[in-house]
Amino acid sequence: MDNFRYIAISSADEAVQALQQAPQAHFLAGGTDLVPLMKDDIVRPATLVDISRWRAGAYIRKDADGLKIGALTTLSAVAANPDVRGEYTALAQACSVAATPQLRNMGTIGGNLLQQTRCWYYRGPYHCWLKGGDACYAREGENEYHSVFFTDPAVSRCVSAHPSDPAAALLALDAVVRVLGANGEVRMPLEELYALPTDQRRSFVTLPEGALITDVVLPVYAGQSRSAYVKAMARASWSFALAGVAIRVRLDGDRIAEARIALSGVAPIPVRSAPAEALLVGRALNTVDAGQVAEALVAGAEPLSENAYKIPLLRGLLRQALDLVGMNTGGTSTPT
Amino acid sequence: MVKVVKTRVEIEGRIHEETVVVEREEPPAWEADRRFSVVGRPVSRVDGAERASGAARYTADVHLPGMLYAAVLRSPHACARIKLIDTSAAEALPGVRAVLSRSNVPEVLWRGGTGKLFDDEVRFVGDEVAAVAADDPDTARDALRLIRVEYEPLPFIVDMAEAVRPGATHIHPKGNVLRDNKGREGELYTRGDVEKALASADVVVEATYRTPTALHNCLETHGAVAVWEGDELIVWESTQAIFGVRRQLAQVFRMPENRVRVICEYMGGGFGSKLGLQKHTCIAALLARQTGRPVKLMLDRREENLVSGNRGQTIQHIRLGAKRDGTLVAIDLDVQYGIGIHGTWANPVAGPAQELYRCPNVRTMVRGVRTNLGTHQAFRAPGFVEGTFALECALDELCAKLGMDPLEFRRKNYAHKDQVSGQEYSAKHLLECYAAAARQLGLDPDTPLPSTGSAGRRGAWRRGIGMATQIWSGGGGPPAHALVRLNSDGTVEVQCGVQDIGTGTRTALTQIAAEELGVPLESVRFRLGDTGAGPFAPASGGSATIASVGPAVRAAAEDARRQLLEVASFFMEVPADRLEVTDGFVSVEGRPESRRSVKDILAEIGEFMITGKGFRGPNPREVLRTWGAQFAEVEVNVDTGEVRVLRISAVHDLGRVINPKQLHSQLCGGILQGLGFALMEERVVDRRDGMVLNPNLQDYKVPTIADMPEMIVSALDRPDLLANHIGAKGSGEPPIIPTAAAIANAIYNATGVRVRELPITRRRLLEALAASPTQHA
Repeated sequence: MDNFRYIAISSADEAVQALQQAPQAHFLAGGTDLVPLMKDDIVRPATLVDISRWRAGAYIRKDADGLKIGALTTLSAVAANPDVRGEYTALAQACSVAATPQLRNMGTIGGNLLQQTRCWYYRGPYHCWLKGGDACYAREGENEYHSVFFTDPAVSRCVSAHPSDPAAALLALDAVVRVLGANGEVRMPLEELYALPTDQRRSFVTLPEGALITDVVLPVYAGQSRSAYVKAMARASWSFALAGVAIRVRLDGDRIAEARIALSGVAPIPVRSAPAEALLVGRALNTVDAGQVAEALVAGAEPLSENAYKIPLLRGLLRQALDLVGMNTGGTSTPT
Repeated sequence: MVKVVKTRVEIEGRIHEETVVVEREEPPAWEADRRFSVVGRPVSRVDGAERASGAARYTADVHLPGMLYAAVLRSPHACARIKLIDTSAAEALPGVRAVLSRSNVPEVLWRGGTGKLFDDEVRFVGDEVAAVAADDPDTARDALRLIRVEYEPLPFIVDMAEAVRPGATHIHPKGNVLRDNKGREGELYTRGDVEKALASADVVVEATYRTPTALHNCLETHGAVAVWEGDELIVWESTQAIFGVRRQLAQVFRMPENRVRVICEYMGGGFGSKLGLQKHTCIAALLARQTGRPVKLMLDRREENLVSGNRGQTIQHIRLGAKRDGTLVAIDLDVQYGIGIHGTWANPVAGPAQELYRCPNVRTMVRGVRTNLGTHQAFRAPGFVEGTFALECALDELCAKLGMDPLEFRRKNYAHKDQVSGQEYSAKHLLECYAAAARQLGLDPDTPLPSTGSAGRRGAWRRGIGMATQIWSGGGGPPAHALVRLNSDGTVEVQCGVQDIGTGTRTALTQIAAEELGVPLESVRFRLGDTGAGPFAPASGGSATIASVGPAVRAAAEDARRQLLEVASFFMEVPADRLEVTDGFVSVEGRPESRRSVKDILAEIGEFMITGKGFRGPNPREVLRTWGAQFAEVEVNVDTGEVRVLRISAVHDLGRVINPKQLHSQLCGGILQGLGFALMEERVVDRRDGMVLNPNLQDYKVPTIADMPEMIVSALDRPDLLANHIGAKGSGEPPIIPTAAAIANAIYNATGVRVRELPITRRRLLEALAASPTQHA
């Protein structure tokens, strides 16, 4: 780890100012991702702007706009919040299966959305494309844990899989982040926050340089909504998603009026599946053809050499997710 | 008076002949129905408070005045020649006190003179290139970045199949396959005529099984603190063998053994990779000598997982033949075992195939294969974990073909004596283990196990039950020594050059000493982990410690007790043979009112110190084995490939149980490590450059608490009175041996799908399910 300058701030404005003044600075919140990256010399900030003392940054509040979650709210606080559990179940479930209890007590929701990929080439001693190099080492390498979507090099040079569970849940839940930057505040839907990396922007997020996510905003849904998040792990805990499926359906009686499905662990960024969603809309809960939806979900997938298993896995997870929001497909997530 | 006796000792599947100097008769065996006061009780660890409170001093906690911190520069190449190494910038960095590399390293006798600490050629990613000692760890690491090295990359091989291909590049002067001292590749064993037996068998199974390279991941990494005091080298080392490290250090530095002292008072886990000297210790000692200051060198997790050892991968091709009635007639096993770059032996993977069942025709071949990767080391039941997986799963396949219950098959082919030597076993109660382990799961051992797919289903979940058998040595043997000293205040000190690697050795041996002396546990202080204090005791390996050292400790305590009673006899005016000592009091047999405390009697002789001396006697002629059976109950989601191990039932036959509480921990720990091997643990290497991609605890998956099944474990507690006079055998390795096979068989029982490669990850299971879509529907 290199030496670095350390600045502690106590408000969002101070944070953004501090970052504007310090080149190569990074925000430090829970530190659960940044500090290990620094220890491995993957990220080498000249300055750390510690925002963890910005007390007002951690809160969960319900108002007319919906539910607002301060960026510094820990994952464990989000998972335990009754409003989140009641109305935004997928988010509570995603936060409760992310990482470990210790990491959830330190890690913040804002930091979680901006965490780096877990690709072991990126995290290891490889000067990969994402780090500014020429090659993606995973594409022809050990890619069991990598993407099955957007694997065409013309679409994405990087084939890492997005690790965030909450990001997929928030995408399904139609969330927006509020971002404070040099030019004031902007609101970004999650679909705009994430974008496939390009040669010019070797990053999975479109956040302006030096900007800070201050809040996550969940909308108020008309009528009855149900949501769920299911995740496949390499062990029962402390594993990033091999694949994760977040689903939200808005019901009109027993008809599905609106559906959003978002995936983690299978693409460089959290992604929605419009074809699968379209097959749900207009159907009654008990007439959904899970097999058909599953096929639509995986239709665009182009697995790499070692990860074709993620295709049946996604199908299986989808059945579990559909069951959790009230369809009876036999894909139960709990053993007998 | 003194007799010299040769005896056979088996450690980690390898047989040694040891010499014992028998000074006097050993104590008679503790009879099977003996009533104990301390032995056999679930005593809490005597050092539990120190360990829990942080007072226990582990190697990493050693902090000496003026101590420097060392760090090692390691090769980023799987094979390369070092063209140039420039350490001048590192040496110039303030706070750096010494830099060692091939340019200035003093000559030492590394690997018996066949290797160098810092070689001109590096042969795996992680190989040592240079080392730095600095005032603090950060400076040491910063200095590493200032060392300039030019490498000329050379051809390398990290894939075992590639290494054995005809015409493959030789990656080692001795070739890619290990040869014995007669120049033959591999280790061949035969009895009977396998080909003939297979040709005439009614049912044959042929399959290839694979096990991964597994990493030990001891919670405490390897490390040492070295300091020179005059011409004496003192080393604190996280080791399973203080005397082994002392002997090897003396050889490497060409020093007398009495000028080397090795200390390991507490240890954070050892599973076989800490059985001998490794480079880090020599580097610390050299840096300490060069700087005249103490030097600490602890490996970090990545280094630990690159250089300190592993369980080598196996590819096992197995053929089994049986008669229609289920009589096993042939076992043919061909094994490739990955030894890494510098391995000098191959794990005894064929042990279970040779020994476990009555079978007249057996042929096994084990080839140790070199690759440009870190050298393997012993890892908890080396060979037998891997070999049991292949054998017990292939037998399950054979049972399926025969339409025979796996338990019935095993009873039918039960080995009543050692299949290799033809000798009797000292004790074998495996049939009882089978029955008891089945009952612990609520199964009737006389009723066939549920057939494939019949154990239960709900939605996509399928339930299954599988079982496997354990065979392992664990009988220990000589040499081992102990001293017991009685202080004038009635307290006791035991001195022994053994180490407690976290298994509870200190507690169990304290129980044995207290029992034999007839004093309360609290009055005994057991001093271990220092070659400068205790007499020789062996390495903590091969599940041998209690069986090797326990009898020596008991013999020393018996010697001290005899002297104590002779002294008491003088003061109590009763013949010594009519006196007994219990709970700290000496009394005349049958006359409890006559009692005098041990403290009173010792006070009579003031500072005259009674010293009892004990040694471990020779082993019997019989073959010493431990046994066990494990049943696994799993649930498998055929949609998502998720496996949940619901319950493991284990019953092992390990001789007398000294401490049931600690034994319970050992059994659960072994099962959990076996579950990791079955379902998730696997070192991943990039074939293009030989880089280990998961040398950390995030990406190398060990089981978490959430993965733990319900574990119903027990030991038969049947003393093996032929094995040694305390009747106990080892428990460290047996519980890990059958777990993976039991789980794999249970997954087959649940789904009808056979996964022949460990770990059985979601990927492998989903691929297997996809390949046989009708089996599990």
